[in-house]
Amino acid sequence: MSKPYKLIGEDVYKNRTEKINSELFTLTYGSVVAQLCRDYNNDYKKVNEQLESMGYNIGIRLIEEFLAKTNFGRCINFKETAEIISKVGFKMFLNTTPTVDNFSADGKQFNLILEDNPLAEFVELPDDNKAVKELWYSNVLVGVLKGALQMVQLDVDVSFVKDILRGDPSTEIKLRLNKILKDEIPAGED
Amino acid sequence: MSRILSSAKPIQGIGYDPLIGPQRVEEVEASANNSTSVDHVTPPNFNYDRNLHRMKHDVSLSSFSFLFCELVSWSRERANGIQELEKRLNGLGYTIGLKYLELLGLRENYITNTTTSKNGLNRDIKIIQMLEFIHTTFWKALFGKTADNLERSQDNVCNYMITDNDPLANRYISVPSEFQNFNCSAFVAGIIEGMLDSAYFQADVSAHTVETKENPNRTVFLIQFDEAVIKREQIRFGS
Amino acid sequence: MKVLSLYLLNKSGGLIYQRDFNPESNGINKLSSNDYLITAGTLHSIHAIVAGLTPPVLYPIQENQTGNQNQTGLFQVETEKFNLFIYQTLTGLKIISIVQKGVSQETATRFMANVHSIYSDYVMKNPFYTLDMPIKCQLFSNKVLLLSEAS
Repeated sequence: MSKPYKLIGEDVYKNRTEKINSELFTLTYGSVVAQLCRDYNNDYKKVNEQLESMGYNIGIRLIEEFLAKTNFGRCINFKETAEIISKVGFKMFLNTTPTVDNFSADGKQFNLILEDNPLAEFVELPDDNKAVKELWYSNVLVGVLKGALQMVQLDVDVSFVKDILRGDPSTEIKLRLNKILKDEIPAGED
Repeated sequence: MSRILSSAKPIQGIGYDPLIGPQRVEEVEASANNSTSVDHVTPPNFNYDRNLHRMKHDVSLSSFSFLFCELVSWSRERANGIQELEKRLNGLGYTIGLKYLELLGLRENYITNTTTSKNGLNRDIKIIQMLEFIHTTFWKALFGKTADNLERSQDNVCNYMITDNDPLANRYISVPSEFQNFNCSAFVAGIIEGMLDSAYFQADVSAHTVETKENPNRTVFLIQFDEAVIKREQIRFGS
Repeated sequence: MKVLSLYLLNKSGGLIYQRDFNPESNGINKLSSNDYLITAGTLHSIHAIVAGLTPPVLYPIQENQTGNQNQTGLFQVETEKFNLFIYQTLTGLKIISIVQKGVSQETATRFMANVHSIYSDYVMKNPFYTLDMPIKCQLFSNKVLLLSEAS
């Protein structure tokens, strides 16, 4: 029986979340990315890494709020994880629902396509040759997903494959399950 | 107050700075002609086609809180000491404030123009008007409520205070006792400072925690205008 | 409903938060901090041993609605004077509450779920808190106290 994840996500967002104007959020994130570019002298590879590491730190904390608000148990398979991330997770925090796409045959990989990305609203990458080729502006999302899934004992490789800011037709993130960290599963779950 | 923009180089020929005046744009064109790379692709920019006056889009407060928490942690790592940490947060907010005044003015103008027959928002040139604008419009736009108090300091003519009983940024943060004087709303203070500076009211803005029983997180933003601004005000409006 | 004590354990069984509510009126003795650490570690170990002891045939098949992931480990200790409940999250955080007799399991679970919510707000969003370390956040303590008085 498939649970109505979409409804759960909308319900949590509508009734149990305090909301703020997304501009403050977008501007804050923009300020952070800009400061990082200045600190690293436009070495975009380092900026990407730093954004991912910041996202990781956010993700390991964010998972607690996600679990506290949704009371979800362990997922049966990776497909369920994908559904929950896109319909509940993203909705709860960013008020957007990416689509799950390209689910691989072995059930270990999928892509998330974000139609609107609140982090990158009205953003334009700088017009030096490098940024468009090297900078993943919303790379913090990669870290958040990685960190959050790690805390529930899933070792997942997350990376950006396409970004509208770079001129691609859509914004896509790829998630690949490496393994389930069975040793770290807390005692007391079957 | 020096901003944490130390490695930002002003780009020639882009934007208009009234302090400098019109600039020649030859250098930009020359460099554009020199770029030989075939694969210099500028992605199509849809930003200019999009509507600025769109439906209010919101995100959850938690996302902002987590981002802000990480922002403070990251600044703490790179700063040596509380003063530098405050400067960093201030600097991060400053760049936001510079842009936000323009955006807010535009939005307010739009609303006034479409709903009343008035001419729209004029540029504020009196200190008290500017502070009222921040106290009501700006606070409402950013935090969904007006600030709680606006007052002028009795001891110092240059100082004004805006009070917020429950600042959004600080809602979930408990500052440990070693960081006694530190207030994470230095970030918001930076935004206010950016706004004031871009409106040509040069000031230093800092955030201070003044606890009360009901509001343990009560924050007072102390706005210290430059002497020149106060003098200008007195000459113009004789206050 | 009267909650007597609250313990929070990280995923390795280390004590990160301990609080007695109204110790004088409830007659709770204050132990040394070492004793609290030992108690926490012991509970953590017993919880794991019980999980190992549970025969697979008894594993629960229905989904739980409360967010308490503690399915096969030590769940409840009943004595003449008090009950002790253990609530565990998917991330390994354990919330242990000691309550008066007469408090039902649902009420205690709801209390612990609320503590989890407060934890995710006032501890996780605090930049001065490092993960798995003892919790020293004033706002968290205040909110927990309010919660214990409200329920």
